[in-house]
Amino acid sequence: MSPPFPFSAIVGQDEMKQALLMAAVEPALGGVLVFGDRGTGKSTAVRALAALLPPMETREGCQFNCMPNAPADCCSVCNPPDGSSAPEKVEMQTPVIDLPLGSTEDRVCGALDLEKALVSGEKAFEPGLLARAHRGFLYIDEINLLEDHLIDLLLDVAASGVNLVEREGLSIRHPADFVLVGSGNPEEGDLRPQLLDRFGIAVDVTTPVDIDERVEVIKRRDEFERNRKKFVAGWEKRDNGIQSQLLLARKLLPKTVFSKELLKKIARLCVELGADGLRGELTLMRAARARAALQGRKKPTLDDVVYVAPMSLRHRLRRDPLEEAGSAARIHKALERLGYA
Amino acid sequence: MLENADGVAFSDDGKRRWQEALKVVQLVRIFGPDVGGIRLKCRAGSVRNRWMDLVLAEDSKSRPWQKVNPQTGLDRLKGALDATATLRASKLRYERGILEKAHGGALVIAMAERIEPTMAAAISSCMDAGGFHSTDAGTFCPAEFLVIAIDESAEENEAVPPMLADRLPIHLDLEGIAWRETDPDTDAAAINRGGEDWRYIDVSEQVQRTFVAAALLSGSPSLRTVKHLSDIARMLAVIAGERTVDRNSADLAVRLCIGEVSVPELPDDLQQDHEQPPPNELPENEHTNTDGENSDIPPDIPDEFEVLAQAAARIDLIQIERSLAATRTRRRMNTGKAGTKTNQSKRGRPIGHTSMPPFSGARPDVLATIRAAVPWQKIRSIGSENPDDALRSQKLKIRKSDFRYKRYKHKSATTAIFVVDASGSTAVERLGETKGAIELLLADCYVRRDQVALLAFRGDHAEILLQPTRSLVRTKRSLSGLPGGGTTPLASGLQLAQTLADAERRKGNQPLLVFLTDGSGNIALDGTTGRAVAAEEAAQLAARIGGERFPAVLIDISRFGKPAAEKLATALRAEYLPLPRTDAGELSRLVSQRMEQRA
Repeated sequence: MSPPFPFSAIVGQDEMKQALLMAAVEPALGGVLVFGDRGTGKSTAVRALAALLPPMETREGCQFNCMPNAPADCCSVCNPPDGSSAPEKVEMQTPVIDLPLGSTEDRVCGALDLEKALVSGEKAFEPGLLARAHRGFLYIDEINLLEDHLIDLLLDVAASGVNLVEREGLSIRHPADFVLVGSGNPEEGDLRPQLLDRFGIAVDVTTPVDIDERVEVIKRRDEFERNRKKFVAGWEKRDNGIQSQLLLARKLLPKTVFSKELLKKIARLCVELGADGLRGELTLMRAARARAALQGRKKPTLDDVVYVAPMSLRHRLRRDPLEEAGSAARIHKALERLGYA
Repeated sequence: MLENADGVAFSDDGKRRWQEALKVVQLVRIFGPDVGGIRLKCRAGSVRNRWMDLVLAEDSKSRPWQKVNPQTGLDRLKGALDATATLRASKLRYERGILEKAHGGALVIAMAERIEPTMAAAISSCMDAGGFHSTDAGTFCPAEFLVIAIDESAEENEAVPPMLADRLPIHLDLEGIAWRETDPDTDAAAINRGGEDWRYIDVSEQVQRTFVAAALLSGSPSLRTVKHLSDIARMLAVIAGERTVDRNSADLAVRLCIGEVSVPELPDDLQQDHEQPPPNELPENEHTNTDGENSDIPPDIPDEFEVLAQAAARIDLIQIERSLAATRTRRRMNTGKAGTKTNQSKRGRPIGHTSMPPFSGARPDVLATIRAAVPWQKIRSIGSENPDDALRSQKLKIRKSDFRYKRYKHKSATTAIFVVDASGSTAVERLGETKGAIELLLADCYVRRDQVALLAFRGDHAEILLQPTRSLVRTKRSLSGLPGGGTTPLASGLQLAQTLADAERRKGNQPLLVFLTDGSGNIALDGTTGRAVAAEEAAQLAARIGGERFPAVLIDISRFGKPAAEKLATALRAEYLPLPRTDAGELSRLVSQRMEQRA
């Protein structure tokens, strides 16, 4: 397949790009929701980011994207049964798996391998989309149209990192560590609040109102379609810069330290906004950490918290239907009241 | 306007529109799948057939075309399981999918306004990626084709799913063109592919900016529209033999992709004091178009492009965006669905399997059946040692208990339609409380997948203030600032209520009418005052609504309970509830209870 549109060539959409980078640095953030109109570059950004990440190592023919030194138990390719040596190590691009809207559960989780069963009568597991998304991204467009039970299942797997399949006489578990990215248009139907809350961060994207920006978007797209290789090569340097930023951030992340003061402020903000449950605080903490790491720092500051507050909290606030202001405005007001912003 | 013998008006620019339609045919013949897609708005008839014949007239080997309709199963798009081949070979064998077969040609979608979101999504993602991942091996299978979506929608709320419509550059409306205006003669010579050259045609900055303005003014928020305008204009330039996009190509591109764009009259304070480039500084084309193909376009078209270009230079786009945002909500399109809801749906989204057929004549799902039978094969082959056992000869031993049937569900939700009397002095408060009740109800509606709508009647007519929705975002936008006071056109309110309830029922939703009125109207349907006439009309309409047996509740807002309201409730076959002081919490609780009862 031809190379995708480069990440650094995307015009504007800074909040969304930052959110995706943060999710790639800190997997514990748990899922990114992108709300916005059509044609705002949502799926372009996800594909671009995956292409930006360094290639990962796995074994040839492995369907579970196993790490060569720690393969999944159920992978028969990486754990050859008769004691022969495992296949060669190969490099592959970070996968971005699209979840088609009409997917059935067995296609997503995996099911009995029919061919093997028909031919030799043996019971084998045929991995589904979740196995193929391991160590990569799972992108769901129009997530508000997806079946509730499927979203439930995906959020469960994304949170635990393990896919457990028990059906048709099989009992299999395999690692499924992926960044879940969902996009949708809120005007066509909202997600249930219980599901919204389980996504880590949510961003709003809008088409740029600035006419120059719009023209620039079209121009770049045109150039890209005329000669993909040349265009990608032109932006390679900047993409590489982002890649090293990301890799450095991943190294810094475990070393980040929060001051007690900052933690108190985070808690105070959540109380002020009346966010339900503790997920708000946890997300704020993880997001602030990821943001600091991306900027090359070990100590998150109040500025980091202020930056990540809207994306971490806008989808968790209990909606007061009789209040006119949108969630983002409420968050900004609360930040001002507390004197943080 | 020309009229035929029956008094039906034909558009006097039918000839011009047909010429534009022929231009589209030419585009398709030269550039094929690069054109992207066409939304053809036209009901079945000889005009449409003629156009389709011209577009698809190619030798089917070089330009294969495939047809799908709303009932086409999703698995057939990518390649369904070939049951016979599978059973014969005892290995999974798949058919070639429709998308794969359409590669290099066209995909025709019949009745596109009725396709399910899942199919729209599948086709859209195939268009985006230029192919799809095949079901068996997961390999990438290239599939680039032109999409022709035939839009037969008649109602305002029927439309091609926006996800798909957004990716179809050309919108062609053939409605109202007379047969005698259609001319089958086109340039048959231009069949050779134009190749990639069109991508290198230059589009000047000013033309680009005008395209952005045109897209915004047409109410389309997506940037794809601008890209489409740019691409189609370039292809048209190639046909015209130009090296850059000139005003003619740009104008034609706007007409083909967007249609007539009206530049709104904006008040003076919204026009910025820019340096206005005088009209003759806009890109003038030095080549005169003596090319025969361009003479198809009559020269006396008002130069819309000129108007647009000037508008683009003057107007602040942010203001347009804001003023259009208000109108945009009213133009929301639903995917059209027809038919009453049934528990044993024959179409819609699959929700799992059962071992008993959900309706008589249901066909088993082959893949699921095989899956169910497979674990038992070994046991069954041991078991049937009896030489008379017919099953022994079967390669794949399937029993009756293995059969699996797909169950479908298409959305059937309850839509609560509030019909509110917005006349009189207490109207403002009442409307405010109703709005509050609606917003409180919406919280429940998310969970139950129900919807809410609001229509109000006052003055001399009734108006839909909120189209059926469960989105809080849309509700806030539509209901900010509600009008109230004046005379009571009850009959109009009833009439509009019936229309909306009918539409909801046709979509497969169950309407629940909630009337807030005191039962007395004083304005007739035609707007004249007169209690007697108004009362009679209201009674007739109420009887009609009652006859349709919509579930309904009438909330009597009068202070002491008027007999008029009770009479109205009886005629409507509605539950009568006196509630002298409308209270948001109480109202939402009442309605929510009744919606749950119907779930």
